[in-house]
Amino acid sequence: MAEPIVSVRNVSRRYPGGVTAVDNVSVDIEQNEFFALLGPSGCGKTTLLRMISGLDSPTEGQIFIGGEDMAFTPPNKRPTNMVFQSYAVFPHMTVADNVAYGLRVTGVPEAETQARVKEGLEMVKLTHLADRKPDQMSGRTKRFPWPRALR
Amino acid sequence: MADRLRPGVGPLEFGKRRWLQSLFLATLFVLYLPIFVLVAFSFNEQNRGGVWRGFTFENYPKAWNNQSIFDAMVNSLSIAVIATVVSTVIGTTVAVMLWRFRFPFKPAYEAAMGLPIVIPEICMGVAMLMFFNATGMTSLFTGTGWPLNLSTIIIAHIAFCFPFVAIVVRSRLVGFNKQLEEASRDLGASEWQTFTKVLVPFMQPGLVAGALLAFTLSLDDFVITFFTAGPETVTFPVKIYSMVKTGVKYEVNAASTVLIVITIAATVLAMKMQTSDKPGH
Repeated sequence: MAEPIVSVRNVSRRYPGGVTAVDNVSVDIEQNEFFALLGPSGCGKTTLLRMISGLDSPTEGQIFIGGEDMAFTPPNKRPTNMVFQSYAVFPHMTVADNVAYGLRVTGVPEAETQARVKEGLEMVKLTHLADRKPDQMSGRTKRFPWPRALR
Repeated sequence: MADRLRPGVGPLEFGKRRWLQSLFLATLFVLYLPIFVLVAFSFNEQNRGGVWRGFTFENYPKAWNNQSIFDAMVNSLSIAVIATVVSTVIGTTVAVMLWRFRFPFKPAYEAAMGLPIVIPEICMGVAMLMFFNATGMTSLFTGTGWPLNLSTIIIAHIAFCFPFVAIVVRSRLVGFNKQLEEASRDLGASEWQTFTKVLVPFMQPGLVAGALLAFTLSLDDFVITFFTAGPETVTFPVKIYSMVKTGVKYEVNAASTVLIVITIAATVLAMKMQTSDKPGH
């Protein structure tokens, strides 16, 4: 079996005050694997995801991505992307600018950014709404965080 | 109010109630008539006297050519611009700090930060004067020439302006969805990029409102300026005060009208900046 792309080893997250959100979880995720994490509300799915993406740190255990320990890697240096529960779209930017954000801040050339934004918006069939602001769209068309997270 | 409605006046037609109408007119009269008279008399022909003699623009070039009024105006505007920029930066950082971090004695700090708003200006002025004298800053900046000789006034203005900015920006930040910050970081933005590209655009209406507040507060401040001004520095409000003591000339009206126009222009500009980002434009 190949080296797992994401490896979660004995990870726990305890909050001050005694709440244990994630208790000794170990998971290996292979390259190209479609991995789903299911469970009732409050069982720690989001906490685990936040620790993998670097928005939270485990109190115990280690997380490896591509074989590297991520303990001291900030979220912007990790090859992970998340679609937030609240979508977390930037209200002051157009749909296209939202999708382009991750590419622009990491210094992807503008021509390539444009091409990939176009591609991403075509994928979710929102090309015609590229210049709208998020608050000018109804809930069902808020599909664009997905292409934003895919890069 | 009355137990019976007048015929033809519906129960919710407050605009037709006589007592409300008279209250409205009285308010207009007291609040706005003086300003209107000030502006109108800036076009009066006869200098002083308080009687309308005829229309003229003469007072404006007269005020412009009055070197001491002109200098005072330049001083006031320079102080206001510098104090606004610095207090907006300080106020914003304070607001972000209070919003983001928890630290010991935070409520005490918040209360202390608001002190310049609460304590009487006269006390603030005396305190500043004593501070500048005790630290030798008054003598340090005296005779340094423009604009360094405005330093003590500018420092004092920043001290009382930045809490206003901090409070306005802080209240704006309450509505910020922290997941936007996390999303930005997750998408590869550094802390600084997140601050400039996500947080600052969100704060912008608060920044504009706070800066405008600071600008107008600084521009018309008399008491604190009076105490902290060096011997060679005169600001517009202080100049007006000294001129009024010897009787109002209409060039004072003209200069005041210019000041009103400047503040109104700043306000309109600020409102434009706030609405340009709204949806549907």
